[in-house]
Amino acid sequence: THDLQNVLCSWTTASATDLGLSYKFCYGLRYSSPVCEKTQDNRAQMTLNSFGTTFVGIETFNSSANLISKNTFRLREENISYVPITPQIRNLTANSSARTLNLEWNYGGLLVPFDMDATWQIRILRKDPIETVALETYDSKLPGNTATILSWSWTSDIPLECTTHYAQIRCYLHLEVFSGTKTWSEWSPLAKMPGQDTGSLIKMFPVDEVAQVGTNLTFCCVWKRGQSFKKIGYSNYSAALSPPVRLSNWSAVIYVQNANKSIEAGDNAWCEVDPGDFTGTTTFVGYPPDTPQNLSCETSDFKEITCEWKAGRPTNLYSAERRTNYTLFESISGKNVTYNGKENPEYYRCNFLVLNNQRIYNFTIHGSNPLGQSESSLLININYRVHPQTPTALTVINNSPTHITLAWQLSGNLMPIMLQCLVRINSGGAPEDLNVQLNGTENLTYSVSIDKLRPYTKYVFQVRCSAIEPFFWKWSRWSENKHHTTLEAP
Amino acid sequence: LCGHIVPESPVVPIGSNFTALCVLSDSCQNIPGNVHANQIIWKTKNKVVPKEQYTIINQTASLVTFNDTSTLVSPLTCNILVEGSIEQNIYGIQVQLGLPPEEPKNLSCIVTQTEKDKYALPCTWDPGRNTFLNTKYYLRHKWVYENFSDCIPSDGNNSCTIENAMFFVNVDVWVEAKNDLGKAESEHIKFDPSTCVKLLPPRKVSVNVSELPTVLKLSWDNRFDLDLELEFNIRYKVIDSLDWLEVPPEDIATRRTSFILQDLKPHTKYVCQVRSKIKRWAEATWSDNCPARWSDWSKEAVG
Amino acid sequence: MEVLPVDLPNLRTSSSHSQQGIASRISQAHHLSVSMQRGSEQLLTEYVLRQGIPFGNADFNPHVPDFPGLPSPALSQEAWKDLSDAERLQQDVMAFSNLPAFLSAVKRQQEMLNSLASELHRQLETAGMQCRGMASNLKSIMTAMGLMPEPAVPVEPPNPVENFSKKLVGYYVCQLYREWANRSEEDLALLATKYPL
Repeated sequence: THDLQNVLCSWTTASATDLGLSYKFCYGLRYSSPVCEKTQDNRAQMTLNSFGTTFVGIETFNSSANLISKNTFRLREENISYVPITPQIRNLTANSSARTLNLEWNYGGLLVPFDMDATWQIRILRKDPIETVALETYDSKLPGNTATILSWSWTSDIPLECTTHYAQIRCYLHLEVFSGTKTWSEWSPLAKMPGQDTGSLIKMFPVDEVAQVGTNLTFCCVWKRGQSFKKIGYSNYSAALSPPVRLSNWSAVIYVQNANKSIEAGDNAWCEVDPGDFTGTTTFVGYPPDTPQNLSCETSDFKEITCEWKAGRPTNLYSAERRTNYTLFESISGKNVTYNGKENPEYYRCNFLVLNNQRIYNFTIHGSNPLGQSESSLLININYRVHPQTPTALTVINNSPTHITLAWQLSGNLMPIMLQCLVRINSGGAPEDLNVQLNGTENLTYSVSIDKLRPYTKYVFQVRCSAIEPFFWKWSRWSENKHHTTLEAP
Repeated sequence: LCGHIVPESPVVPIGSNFTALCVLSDSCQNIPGNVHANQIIWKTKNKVVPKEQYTIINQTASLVTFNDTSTLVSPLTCNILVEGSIEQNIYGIQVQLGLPPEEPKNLSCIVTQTEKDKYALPCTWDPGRNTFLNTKYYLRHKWVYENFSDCIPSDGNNSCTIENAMFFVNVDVWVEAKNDLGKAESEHIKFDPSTCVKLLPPRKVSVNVSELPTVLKLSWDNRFDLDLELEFNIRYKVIDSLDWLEVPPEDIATRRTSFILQDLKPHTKYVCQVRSKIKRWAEATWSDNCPARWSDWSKEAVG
Repeated sequence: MEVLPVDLPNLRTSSSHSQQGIASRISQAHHLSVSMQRGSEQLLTEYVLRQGIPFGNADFNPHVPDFPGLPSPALSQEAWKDLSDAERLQQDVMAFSNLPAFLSAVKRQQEMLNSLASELHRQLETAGMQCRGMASNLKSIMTAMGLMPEPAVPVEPPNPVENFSKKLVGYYVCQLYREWANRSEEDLALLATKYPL
């Protein structure tokens, strides 16, 4: 039975030939009047009786309608086998770049009377002569009385264009309530996903694949009717190459184990056919982006935050389509900045505008390329990450024989912090350092008075500054030298 | 606005004459006392222009003329005397005085080898007198059938370097100067860059002793391998001496990478240097416009 | 009919003067073609080096297809000899007028595919410049010989999508450039024998 309602019976006859035979098929319960039907076939249908014995009588008549034999059978549920409806593949689609076949099917267009568990077996076939390349099992629930579309996808080991792929499906229903034997349904008809090996073009696949170092690669070549295959070559000789495997009349494939880093322009696989034609494809073998390293963010002026990081392991992937794209994301404000500087610098840098009334920044640098993505995060309080710019415009005011005022400029509104500045005083001997603490200002200018100088003496002054409150982070660079000669003593 | 001056921001050649017109507009009428053009007072930088230079065109327009631009100082303003004593400014303009550019002169170019296969074309010229105006200079070059983008001096106005000089194609080079008062073009010089190259000096110069005590072998690498003939100068002197001796040019007038120095003082240290030049290849009829130059002397080699 | 006296020496000097002008232009162009021969060899070597095997393999010499706007340089010896000076020069002009567009298309593709190969980019740039220089020289020669150069036919270099095809087209263009450099050297060497200095 397919549906736990009707039972399909078939029988065999001892006679050598079935020509001209007909049958009278009757069934019924012990004390009920039988239901009969005449048939030329040796099959008939009756209603399933789940709770008792069904008595079946088969009378055989020859072509002259003479009864030649009569047989009776006692059928209980256990003697009946349950054969599910053959599933119906509704849709077979391919995603070439992902090399996946996507199957959609239903339960033969019919409904099951109540919820039940089902097991599906999916067979993928290809090559000429055809052979099974994958047999996968998939369990699911079949809801009762509900039209259900099920789907499943399979990833191929070779590009789908290389040859035609077929898919078939059958099912097994876990009918706890049925005591008879349960079997697999029939295999569905083959659903076909045509390949490009139709003899109409010469081409290699995959095209411009990006693969990870160490993975196995597959290259196939399809060629035209009338051409004969010679060889498939792969440019990275260090990789292990399998001999070519024929897939069909106009298609062959090779397997490359443990792929090595490609050259910048990508390694090539090429295919030679007679008479004198060839084609090829390029593959880029590299790495997914490494976790961004040494992520550091700081500000010099409370206007802009500069984040820098290192890429870590080179990906060996270049150009706009394959290089690593970085985005700096700040989760508190939800804003982000995309890196668009030079390719493969030693340090990557991104500038992020300081936001009003926001001191805490939760930065995440996110890198992605065709092979994957990675990220690093950093939480900072910008008051703790002030790296002043190089002091500029050193000038001497209030000049006297033993006392001067040295002024300089530091860009940016540094109000939120307390600065310390180191003034290096050099007059030929060992330089003397003067450390002064100054309140950060918004008007760029800072100054310090220096006394105990020697009259009419050549001095060279240099300055560098850093934050000291709330937190020392980094010294600025030293300023340019400021040459100055003190006045003569009166 | 109660009026305006025409022209708006003139550039006036030094030594020429100049007139400006001040035109009162309707909105001047709300100045009390029925304004007339004869109440206009012209000033150059707060100095009143003599009335003789005024011409009243009509009730609303007054013309001022300067026959000598030396008195024409910016700003030139048009003002009106209100109620006899209060002076109100109507309009003012900046007048730029200057000169059109002179024809740039003494254009000179040298093809300079910058790397093994790279040749630049730095050119210099005399821009001529100061024009007192913002004057732009463009070094232009073209082939018979192809034009190229201008070379714009990055600093100064008397030199520019054309990045890629290409051999064996006659190039026409000239300078154009342009400002608001006019433009001028230098003489064109036409030459084949291959005729006027200053090569990089020979390198890896080395001196090796030979079996004979009075002979040294000098060798070097040339950094030029196009199919043009090279000629060389070699000079050598006893170390610490000031007197250089030179190998006769005719002995080293063909492409080579070594030379044997003879008749030297035995057991004496010598310092040697080499320089090279592309030999004039006879058919280049334009090579007079841009003669080849000697490379700098190579580093000293001691042996 | 009145016979005008002809001042032969002047005629000869003016025609020999133009003959001399043609000869020196041919010599100059020939020098350029020799330089381009060397440059095209270097370019092809650098190019195949950067594309990876099979480019550069000894047995890798695919047939170079025809590109619209670029006449094939390959000619049988007879056909080449049968060409008139004008036809020879005109074919050279057409090739060198159109090669720059192909070379700069290859440069753009290589700047994407081989962004680190700055020497290759420089050589492609130089090759394009030299082609334009040669076209300019050849037109000057034709004009000096009283021939009218035909206007260049605008070309659309191929712009394949797939990277292997880009490599292949670039290879073909570098090959064509080398073959035309060799062809122009032969053409100019032959012309130089007709117009000695």
